[in-house]
Amino acid sequence: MRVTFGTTFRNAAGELARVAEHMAERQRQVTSGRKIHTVSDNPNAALGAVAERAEMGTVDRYRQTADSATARLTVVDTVLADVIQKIEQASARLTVVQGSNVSQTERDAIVAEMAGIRDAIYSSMTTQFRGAYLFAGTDTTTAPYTKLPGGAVSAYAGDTQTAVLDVDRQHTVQVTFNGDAIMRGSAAADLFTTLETLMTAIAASDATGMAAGAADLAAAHVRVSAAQSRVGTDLASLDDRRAVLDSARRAADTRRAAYEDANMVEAITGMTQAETAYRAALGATSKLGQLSLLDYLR
Amino acid sequence: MSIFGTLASAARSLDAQRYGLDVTGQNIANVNTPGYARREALLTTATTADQLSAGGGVDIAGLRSVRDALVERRLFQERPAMQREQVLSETLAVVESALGAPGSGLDASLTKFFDAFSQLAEDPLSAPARQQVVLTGQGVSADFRDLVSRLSLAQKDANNRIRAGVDELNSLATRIASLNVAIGAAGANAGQAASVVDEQLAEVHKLAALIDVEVIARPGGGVDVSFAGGQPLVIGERAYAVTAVPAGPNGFFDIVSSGTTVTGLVTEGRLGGYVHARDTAIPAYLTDLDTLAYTLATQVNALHDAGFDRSGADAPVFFTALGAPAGAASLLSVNPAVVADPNLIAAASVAGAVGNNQQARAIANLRDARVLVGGTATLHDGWGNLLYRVGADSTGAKAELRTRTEIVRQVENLRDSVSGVSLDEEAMRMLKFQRAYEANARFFRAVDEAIDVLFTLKR
Repeated sequence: MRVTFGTTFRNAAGELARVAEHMAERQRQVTSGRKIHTVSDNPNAALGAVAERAEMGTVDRYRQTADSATARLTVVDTVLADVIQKIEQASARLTVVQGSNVSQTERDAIVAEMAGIRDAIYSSMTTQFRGAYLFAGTDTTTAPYTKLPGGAVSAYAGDTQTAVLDVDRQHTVQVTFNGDAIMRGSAAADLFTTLETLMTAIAASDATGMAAGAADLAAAHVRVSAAQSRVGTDLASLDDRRAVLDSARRAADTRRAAYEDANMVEAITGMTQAETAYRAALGATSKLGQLSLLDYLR
Repeated sequence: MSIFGTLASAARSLDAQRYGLDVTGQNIANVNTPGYARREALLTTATTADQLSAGGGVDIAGLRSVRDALVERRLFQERPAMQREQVLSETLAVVESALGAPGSGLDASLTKFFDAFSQLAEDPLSAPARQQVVLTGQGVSADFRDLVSRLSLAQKDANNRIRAGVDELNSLATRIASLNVAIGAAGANAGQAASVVDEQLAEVHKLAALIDVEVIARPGGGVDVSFAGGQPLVIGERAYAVTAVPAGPNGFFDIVSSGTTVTGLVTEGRLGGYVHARDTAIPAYLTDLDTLAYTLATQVNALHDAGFDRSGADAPVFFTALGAPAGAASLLSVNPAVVADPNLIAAASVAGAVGNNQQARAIANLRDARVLVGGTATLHDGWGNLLYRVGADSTGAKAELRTRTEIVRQVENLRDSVSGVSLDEEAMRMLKFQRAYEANARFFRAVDEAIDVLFTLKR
C-alpha cells in the first residue's frame, strides 16, 4: 500500500487527538475526584447514582424525622413521669390521711395538697410542643382540659385520634396522644374527677370514699405507667432506628461513591500512563517528515 | 527521416519531458489540496511511416488523474454516517448538560419537595413548613419547565440548522451542476478538465457530509446526484431546488424537493443527524418528562384533593390540574390558590383534626411509591431512566462516531494510497524527467552538431 504524507499526518493527528482526549479525561478525574461528569461517561453508573442519592435523601429525611420524634417523645416521657410521680404523691398522702389519728386540720391540709397535685397534673396534660397540645389527640389546637371555676378540671376536650410519624419505611411512632385514654381509659371517671372525689372524701373523712379513691388512683397509675412504658419503648426503638438509618446512609453513600467517585490511586496512575502515551505520540509525530528523498537529491 | 525530422523529434522529446516535470510540479504543489488526485503524464511512442526512421520519438498522449471510483463511492457512503453521529453526539451533549448530573437536577428538586411534606407531617400547624411546601412545589415545577425549555431550545436549534443545511445543499447542488457544464466545456484541455473534476468531487464530498446521496458518473464526464431515496438533486446541468417548508404544529421545517417531502429520506449526514435529534431523540425525552410531570401532578393531586386544609375544609388540588400527559412538563405549576394561601395545603385526612398529618405523610411517602411504568418505578426511578436513556444515546453516538471516524480515516488512507501525492515518488519522477530532459537536450545538441557538419561539407 502506498503511504503518502497525507496518510501519515492524518493517522498521527487522529492518534494525537485520541491520546489527548484520554489524558484530559484522566486529568479531570484527578482534579475533580469524580469519574462521572456527564451521564454519558457511564449511563449505568449515573442510573445507580440517582437511585443511591434518592435513597440517601430518604434516609436523611427519616433520620431528621426520628430526631424530631425523639425530641417530642422525650417531652411526653418527662410529662408522664411527672404525672406518675404526682399520682404516687397523692397515693402517699392518701395513705397518711387514711390513718386513725388525723385531725380535720391535717385533712384540710392534705386536701389542699391534693388540689395542688391535680393542678400539677392538669398543667402536665396541657403541655404543648411547638404550639401543639401533646395530649389532645389530633385536635392539637384545642386544650385537652381546661380549669373550671372553683378549680376543678373539665372533661377531655380533644379527639380520640393520634398522629404518627414515619421514621423508616416500615416504622412509625406515635407523636400525639389521646389524653382521655391516659387519664380515664375504660374507667368511669378520669384522674381529675378521681382527685376531686377523693378530696371530698378526705375532707369528710369518708373511709369508703377514700378506699375507692385509692383503687382509682392505683388504676390511673397503671394506665399512665403503661403509656409511659410505650413511649419509652418508642424512644428506645428510635435509638435503634437511628443506628439502622445511619448504617443505611453509610451503605448508600458507599454505593454512590463506587458509582461516582474516582479511585485516586487508579486515576493518578491512569493520568501518568496517559501523559506518557501523549508524550510518546508527540515525539513520534515530531519525527514525521524528517526523512525525505528530496534531502538526497543534489 | 531527414536529419531535420530527427531534430524535430528531439524537440518533441524535450517538450514531453518538460511536460512530465510540469505534471510533477503540479502534484507537488497540490500535495495538501483536499480532493486532489495525483496526475500522471501519459507519454506514448510517436510512430512514423518512414522506413529509414527508427521512430518518431515521443508524443504527449494526455494527462490522467489517478482515482479509484470504488474508493470514492465508499467515501460518499461513509461520510454521511460519520457526520450524522457527529451531529447527534454534539446535540446530545447539549441535552445532557441541560439535564444535569445525578443529584443536581430534577431528582434533587423531587427530594426537596417530598422532604417538605415530611416536615409538614411533623408539624401540620407550622406556617413555615406550609410555605416550604409551596416553595419546593414551585421549585420542582420550575425545574420541569426549565428542562422543557432547554430541550425545546436544542430542538429549535436543530430545526434552524436544518434550514441552514438546506441552503447549503442548494448552493452545493447548483455548483455541482455548473461544474458538469464546465467539465463538458473543458473538452480536450486535460489539465483543466482534471481540475474541474477534482473541484466537483470535493463539492460532492461536501454534499455527502450533509445528506446521504447517490452519485452516478455521467458518460461524458461529471456526475448526477440524487437523494439516497432516488429524488434527484443534480441531473446534468440542472440542479433541483430543495426547500425548507414550515409544517406541523411546531412550525418545524420539512425538507421538500420538487414538491415531494423528503425529510424521511434524509437519515444520514449532518442534516440526517439534525432531523433525528429534532424529530426522534428530543421528542422522546420530552415525552418522558411529560409522563414524569403528569404522574407527579396526578398522584399528588389525588391525595391532596382527598385531604383537608388547615381550617378543616376540603383541600383543593395542589398542582394546577392537567388534562393529559402531552405538554404536562411545560404546564406544571402549583395551584395559584395554594400559593396565595398555604393554609389550603392538605396535611390532614380528617376534617377538623388540625393535628392530623395523614395526608402529608401519604404525599411524602409518594417518593417511594411505584407509580410509573405500570407500577414498577418510582418518580426518582423515572428520572434516572430518562438520564440513562439520554446518557446511553449519547454514549452510543460517541462510540458510533469513533467507529465511523475510524472507517472514514481508513477509506481516506485507501484513497490516498491510490490518489494521494507521495513526495518521495514525485522526487523520483522529478529526477526521472530531469535526467530525461538532460539526455534529450544532449541528443538535440548532437543532431544540431550533425547538421553543422552537414553544412561544412558545402564550404
